[in-house]
Amino acid sequence: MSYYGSADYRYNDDLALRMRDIKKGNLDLGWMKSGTESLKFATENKKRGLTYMDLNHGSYGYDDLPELPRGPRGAAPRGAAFDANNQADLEPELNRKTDVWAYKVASFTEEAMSRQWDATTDVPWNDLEKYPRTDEIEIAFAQLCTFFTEVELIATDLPAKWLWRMNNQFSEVKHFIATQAMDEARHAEVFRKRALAGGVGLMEALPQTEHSLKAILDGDTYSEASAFMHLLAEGNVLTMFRFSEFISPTPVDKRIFQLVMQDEARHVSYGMQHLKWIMDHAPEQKEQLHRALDEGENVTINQFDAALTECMIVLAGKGTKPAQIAEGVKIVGNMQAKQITEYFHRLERAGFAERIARSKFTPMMADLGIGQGVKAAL
Amino acid sequence: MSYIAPKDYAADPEIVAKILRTVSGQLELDWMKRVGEPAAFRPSQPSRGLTLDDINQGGYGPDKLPEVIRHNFSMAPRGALLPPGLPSLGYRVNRKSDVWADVAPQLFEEAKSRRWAPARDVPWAALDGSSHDANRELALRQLATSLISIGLVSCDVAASWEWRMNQEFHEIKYLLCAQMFDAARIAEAFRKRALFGEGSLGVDSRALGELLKSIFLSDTYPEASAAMNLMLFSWVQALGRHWAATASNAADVYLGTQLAQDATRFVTYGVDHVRSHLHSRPLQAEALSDHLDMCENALVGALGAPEMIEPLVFVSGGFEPAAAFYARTADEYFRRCDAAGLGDRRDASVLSSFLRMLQGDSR
Amino acid sequence: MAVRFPSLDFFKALQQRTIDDKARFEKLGYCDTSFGVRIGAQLYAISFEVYECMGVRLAPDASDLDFVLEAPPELWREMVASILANKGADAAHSLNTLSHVGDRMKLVSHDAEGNDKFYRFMASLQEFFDQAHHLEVTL
Repeated sequence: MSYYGSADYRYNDDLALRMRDIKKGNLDLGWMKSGTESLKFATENKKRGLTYMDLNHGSYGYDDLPELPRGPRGAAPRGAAFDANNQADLEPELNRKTDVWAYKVASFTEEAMSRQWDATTDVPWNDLEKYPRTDEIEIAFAQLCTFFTEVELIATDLPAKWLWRMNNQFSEVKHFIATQAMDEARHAEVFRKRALAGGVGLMEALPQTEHSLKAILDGDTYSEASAFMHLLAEGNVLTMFRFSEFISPTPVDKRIFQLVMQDEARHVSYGMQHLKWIMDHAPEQKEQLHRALDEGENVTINQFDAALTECMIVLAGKGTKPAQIAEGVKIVGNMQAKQITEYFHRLERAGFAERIARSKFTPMMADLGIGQGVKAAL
Repeated sequence: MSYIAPKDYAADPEIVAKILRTVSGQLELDWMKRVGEPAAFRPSQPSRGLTLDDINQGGYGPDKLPEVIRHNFSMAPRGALLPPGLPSLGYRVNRKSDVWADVAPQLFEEAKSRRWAPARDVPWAALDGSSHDANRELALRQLATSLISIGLVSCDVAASWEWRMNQEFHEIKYLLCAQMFDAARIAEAFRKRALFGEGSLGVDSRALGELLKSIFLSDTYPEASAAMNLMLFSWVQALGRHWAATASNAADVYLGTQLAQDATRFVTYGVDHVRSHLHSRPLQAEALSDHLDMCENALVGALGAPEMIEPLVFVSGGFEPAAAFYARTADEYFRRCDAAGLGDRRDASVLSSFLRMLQGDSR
Repeated sequence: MAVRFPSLDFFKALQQRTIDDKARFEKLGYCDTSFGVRIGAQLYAISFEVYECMGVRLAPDASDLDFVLEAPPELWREMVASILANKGADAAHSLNTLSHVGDRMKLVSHDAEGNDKFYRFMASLQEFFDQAHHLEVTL
């Protein structure tokens, strides 16, 4: 077994003596003289309540947290008194602020806490019956929901993989990741429920998509994985959510997409702000991120899967007749161009505009004759 | 990047050709014929909404899950059709009995339903002009500091297993996400409690850190679950109740109540999980008991540390009430262990020796 | 119309409050438990499902109840008086405080999970009793 502590308390005279002393009223009280800062903390905005931003002062705050918080490696909360030579070392692997931090992460976390919703009760499931759909529309929608159910939990698995490796000094980031995990569990849940409520059931898993998910999960560093997942993959999914809301066959489905897109947007924003933090504080990581996104974009291109693209075309065109397919192709094509445009915009906002010229999407779009549209949009 | 795709797809003429075919309207559409088990599930209780239990029917439910997952190591959702070519995502927890508890889907639903947000839901203003004397307030802040640590590491524990768990157990993964969320919220709420007003944090407890590390580094998920859900959170729940019971203002009543509520879900899962695990694999009882023996030793260290017991003495109104609190909580914990199939742990447990120490019996 | 405490009518009036003030109970989330309130010789069984109290009755025994809260009638009256005076139990008279040590109000159950349901749904159960301040109650 791994670790059981440094003392055996079963026959421990020190412990017995100490309990006897406490019972007699002789307390140690060292904890009362912790020497930690005493500051005034109050709610700045009563409507918002007491937020992390309100606590951002002195040694408790995150603004003054150094790039390398030397010393704490255990469970000590930031600002607590601790002894670097007498702590249970939890062996965190991510100990630099640039490893994990993002601008505005505290406010993203507070937003996540306040905007939780429930897939069980916030979607009017019983109303599905009121909106008849053709078989082919429901089949296409079930395929789309199968895809979303499949991909959503990567955005739990990936952050969870890294969360426990992060130093506890970065508690706001760890909290944000915990909210993302809950958000994504909820997304996987809602799409599974929708697939199983519509009459068709789950359809086929998509191997090309799975390879993308594997590439995300196997990312070498948290920042590389975050760039691929938050910025590229979730960015694409966010555009798909907006598009799916637009093409939803029923108001019940529109409601689902309205709810999921708010969470997804928050995750993408975190990813962008993490990337921006790196650009501002550790620009030497650029080449590493380029290489990660080279491969991320590569596997993303391979996600052009017949089932996924075609189900979106059928939904957008509202059927499989040639005129419907033609309409669907136009709408889906616009959406896919938008995915790339928005990805490039995010790279620019994160201070990583140089990525655009290097992106694998650029020459490919040119090959497909939609490069000009993307260029014009930028 | 660790995973490198087998091709450079951007330079792959096949992909471009495929895309061009699609944009010209030549769709394959054969995927439309590959439909699985039809499903049109509805809420069994309209007021409750569409729950996981409602959709866990037929081939989509967990009842059909084999004990050992051999057919799917990808992210394909349970019940989806599995085409060839799905990669392995490297899941390492692939036995149902290692993770399952029938109560888990219900607990996930309950966690979502009973949500709260510390920023706004705690009546922080009730702490202004609180009647606590300075020592009692310091004691509460010290206990809050320990609760932050517990929240931080409990979140880590849940995360460290979630990502390794097979997707076929998605209800358990969802529940672990809820645990991560709940644990992070405990850390948030008690950080805010410690700092609100003329606030400060207390000292880091090495003994508590060692307890948390013992749990965090558990070798197997059942061991981690027994140690964290069953053992640690029995104490966290009790502390929540004690916090609320000894409170003198609405904010502390709220915080204690919510802590107890959230912690009880961890405990409930822990009891059911261990019970299911041992029902399927009774030979694991010795390993789990052995692990709990060791973790209980670390627990004694944490409970007996000055930064835990002394604040409790202040908050409880004296040594005797604090000792009684420990005794009651230990009793509840042992009863839960029995309910979980671990038998009566009282006699052998170092916790019992510790309680006797508190009574002045050094046997 | 006034209701006497303790009486079945009192608990039926509280049951109605879970419908009249439904938003408050919904905000607290699911509450799924059947529990007992033993006041003197009487055992009142109260069932909650989803957000609402679904039924109250006099029960012969606790066999199908998750847990029972037992206390002398005087303590129950003291609690209700606190609720009426303060528009909700004060810290000294909450269900948790009164049952915490186990010497005044006892939490009795035949299994650990039943026991724990008291804590899982504590806020909803407290709200249920606190709703008494909307009633006209004679003690």
